[in-house]
Amino acid sequence: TNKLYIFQNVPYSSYELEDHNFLDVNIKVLNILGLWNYHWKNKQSWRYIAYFSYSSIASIFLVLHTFCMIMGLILNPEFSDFAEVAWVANNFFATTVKYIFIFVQMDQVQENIMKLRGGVLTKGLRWCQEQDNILRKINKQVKTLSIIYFSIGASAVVMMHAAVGSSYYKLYMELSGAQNYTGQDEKLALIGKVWLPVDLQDPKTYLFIFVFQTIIYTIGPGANIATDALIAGLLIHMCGEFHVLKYALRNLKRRALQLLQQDRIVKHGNPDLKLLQLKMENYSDGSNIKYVMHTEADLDAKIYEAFVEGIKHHQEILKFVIQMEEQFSAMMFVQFLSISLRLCLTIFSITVAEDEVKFMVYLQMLIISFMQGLLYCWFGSELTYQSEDISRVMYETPWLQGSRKFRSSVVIVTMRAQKLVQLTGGKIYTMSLDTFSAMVYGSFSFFKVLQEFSTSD
Amino acid sequence: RTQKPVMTKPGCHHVTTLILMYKFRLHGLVADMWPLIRIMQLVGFFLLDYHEDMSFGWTSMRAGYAGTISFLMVLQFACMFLNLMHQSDEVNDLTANTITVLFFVHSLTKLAYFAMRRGKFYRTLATWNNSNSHPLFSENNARHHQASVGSMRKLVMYIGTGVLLSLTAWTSITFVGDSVREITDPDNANETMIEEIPRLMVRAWYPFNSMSGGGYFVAFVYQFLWLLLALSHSILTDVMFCCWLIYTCEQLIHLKEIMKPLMDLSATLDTVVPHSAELFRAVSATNNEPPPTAGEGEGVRAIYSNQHDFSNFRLNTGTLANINTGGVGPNGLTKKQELLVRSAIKYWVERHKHVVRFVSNIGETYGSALLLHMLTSTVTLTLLAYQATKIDGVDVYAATVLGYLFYSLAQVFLFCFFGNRLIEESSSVMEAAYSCQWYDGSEEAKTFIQIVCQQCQKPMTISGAKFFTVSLDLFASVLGAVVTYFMVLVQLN
Repeated sequence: TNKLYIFQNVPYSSYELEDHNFLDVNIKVLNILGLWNYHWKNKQSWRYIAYFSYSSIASIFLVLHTFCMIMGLILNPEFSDFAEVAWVANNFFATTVKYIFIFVQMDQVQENIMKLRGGVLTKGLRWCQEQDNILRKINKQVKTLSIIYFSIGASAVVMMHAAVGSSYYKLYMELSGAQNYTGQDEKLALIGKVWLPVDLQDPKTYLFIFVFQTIIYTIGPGANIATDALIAGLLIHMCGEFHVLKYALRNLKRRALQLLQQDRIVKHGNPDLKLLQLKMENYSDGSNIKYVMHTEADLDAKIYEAFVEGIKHHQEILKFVIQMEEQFSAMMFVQFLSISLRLCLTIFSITVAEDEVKFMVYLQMLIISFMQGLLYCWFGSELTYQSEDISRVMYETPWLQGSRKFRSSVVIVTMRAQKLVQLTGGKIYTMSLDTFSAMVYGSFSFFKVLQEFSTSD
Repeated sequence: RTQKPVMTKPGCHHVTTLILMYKFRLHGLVADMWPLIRIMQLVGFFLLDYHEDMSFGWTSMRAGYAGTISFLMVLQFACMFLNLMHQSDEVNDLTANTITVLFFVHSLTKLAYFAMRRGKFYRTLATWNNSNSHPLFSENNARHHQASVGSMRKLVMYIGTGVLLSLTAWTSITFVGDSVREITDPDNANETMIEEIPRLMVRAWYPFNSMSGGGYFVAFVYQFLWLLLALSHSILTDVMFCCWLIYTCEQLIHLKEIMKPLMDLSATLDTVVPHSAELFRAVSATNNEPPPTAGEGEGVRAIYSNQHDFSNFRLNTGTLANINTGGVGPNGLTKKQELLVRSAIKYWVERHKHVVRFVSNIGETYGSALLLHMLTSTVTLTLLAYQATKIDGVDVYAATVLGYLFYSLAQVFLFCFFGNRLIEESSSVMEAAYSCQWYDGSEEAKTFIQIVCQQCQKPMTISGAKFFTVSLDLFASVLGAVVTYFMVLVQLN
């Protein structure tokens, strides 16, 4: 069979590697909030230092604000809306932790994400248009999700600012020295109820604190939403990479023929060859060779080569996910913990809620907490499923006619793929739909138990 | 010159060990854990080996020392138990005394367990007396060995500091507040009156008057020493267990690190590898070393350029005619180099088998002790949860309850943490095996990777006599159970 030449029709398609601008929306927003440094490669430049100071100042502000909120809760526990303030404080705490974790690891995070944007995960690992289309669709999905999430967040922030609209008016009036305007007797209120060692009614201090709070209430929720969207986006992109890998593994033979074409293996020395060669040239138009001759051994070798490309791709994806786990695991743990606490708090408040308005507010808070958890759990589950799917796709490779080398490699890849790839929060919370349903179920039982106790009182 | 202890009959194992260990040399695990072993001997465990002079006289003196300490511990425990019976009519006192008694049952259990199972302990400590070596990986091995010894010493230091701190805290809190207890008035059943009790660390019944004077002084000193010894007893065997796990984890990290150079070496047997001579320098592989073949940025094509693609050659390992002058295989290896390559995989497999054997020894030796510990701790923590519901302010009572709670949970956390680390390290061996360039290796290497992957799919665990696995999940469930009991009891109150 070594000498058997096969005359194969190859659908020749020219493919050029495109450099997509993945995650551009997310990165722009992160840049505004102080979490993505465009000048991270050049540590000595003033731009890097300027941006670094901007991020550090923002993180210090966040820490101060969280501290003031928590002090406010401890010192004035008789707020009429204790549950709401505690909910916001909890949210802010989680946001501060996430901000600081990403700020401290900014280099590693950026390096990892750049693998997707022109780095190792893009070079040489895609070889046809269909794979590009898959990734483009994935990116569109990410973009849509991010934009929806950002708009929800932005509207929430705007509403929060609008809630103290009357105070803006009063502040403007006071500062411009007007006397006797409407609403003069009302007190100045802040967006967030915090404890501060100053007198809030003095317009000058109020202006200072007010500016501070405006900045915080833009950066805080913004950072929260941006990090959530970033991690969800990365998870979706990893699923996309798995899709690309699966496509490549299903079309190994096509890729092998493409490689043969590119190498243009033509064996010399065989008298029949010249005739075949002529036939070849008659059907082709010079550079675009439409037919390729190869032996079985050639094809086997090229199939193995294509398979090795797939293996390398798999290794890169796994490396990326492991890096993600290392960087984001601790903050995910804090996030899940804060979601659990918030759920307990909200459910407790719902059981003791007196009026309809409060009830609606608490319900809203409950839904928001659930959505934050669902985002991670859904896409984490999706990633696990995709990673497991590789072992099933291994069965669709041409292993039956493959060489011994090929078959032993298939075994190894299948075994590795059977080990689930799971993102965890501090190794305790796994990001999967199991965790989410456990959360929902646990909250519901907690609610039922509390209801029993409150009705029996 | 030492010999491995030969097991003849289970009954006389420790006797045989004593005789064989006569010419004693400090090596293997015993050398690495030397400070811990000395401390354990000092504190009164029946660790009668590992001494220079093993003559009958000295051994019986040491046995006598350990025996005396054990007797004193049991005596104090009996006094506490008698006190519990005495004060069993008051519910609050009964609960508090039960918690104290259960808390110190650990030390007696560990003492007795060690005395009865010391043969198994000696055998586990002797596991690493003979380990294999390979010239290419000896530097990496030595580095990880040093790291494990350093971690073990650090752990012993931290735990020692913790025990001393607890002792100080306990002694100082004895002198805070009134040393009294409430009992119901014998005349009027609805009222309570205050009765004075001796100002000692734990409540115990002594046959002499321990309220004041000479009796008080004797009782105080006795209790102080007893407290120090009891805290040490209950935690030192756990520390030994954790040290074993630290050693295992470092061995696993060593195996993971040499996987990559191993594959590169094995590839030289039948594919052309540029700079193959460099691979034969002693490998001190860290993960940051660049591979001898193409770098990451050049893409996959560079490795498969035509000069490397020998797929048209039918290569069998080792019996190929030379391409270069002399030497074996496409890279022209000398006979010695070929031998090194073939023995490298053997080294890896033997070392891994040794580690697996060690872990199963650890499990056999200490699993039941962990089970007993968890049983006692569960009951203690439940009672502590009940006591915690009666806290109504920052006072001595709250401090003592929280102290007991914290100490019990910390003890459980200690071995759960290291058990979890073992699980993680052993399950990541497969990932390390997969992430090296195994696809370039020979068929021999690929079969090796296959079998390693299949073997390492299931992580190595330590189980508490098959009842539970020692991991952070166990700790989380214990903590969750305590919190649940507390919440339920608070509601019922």
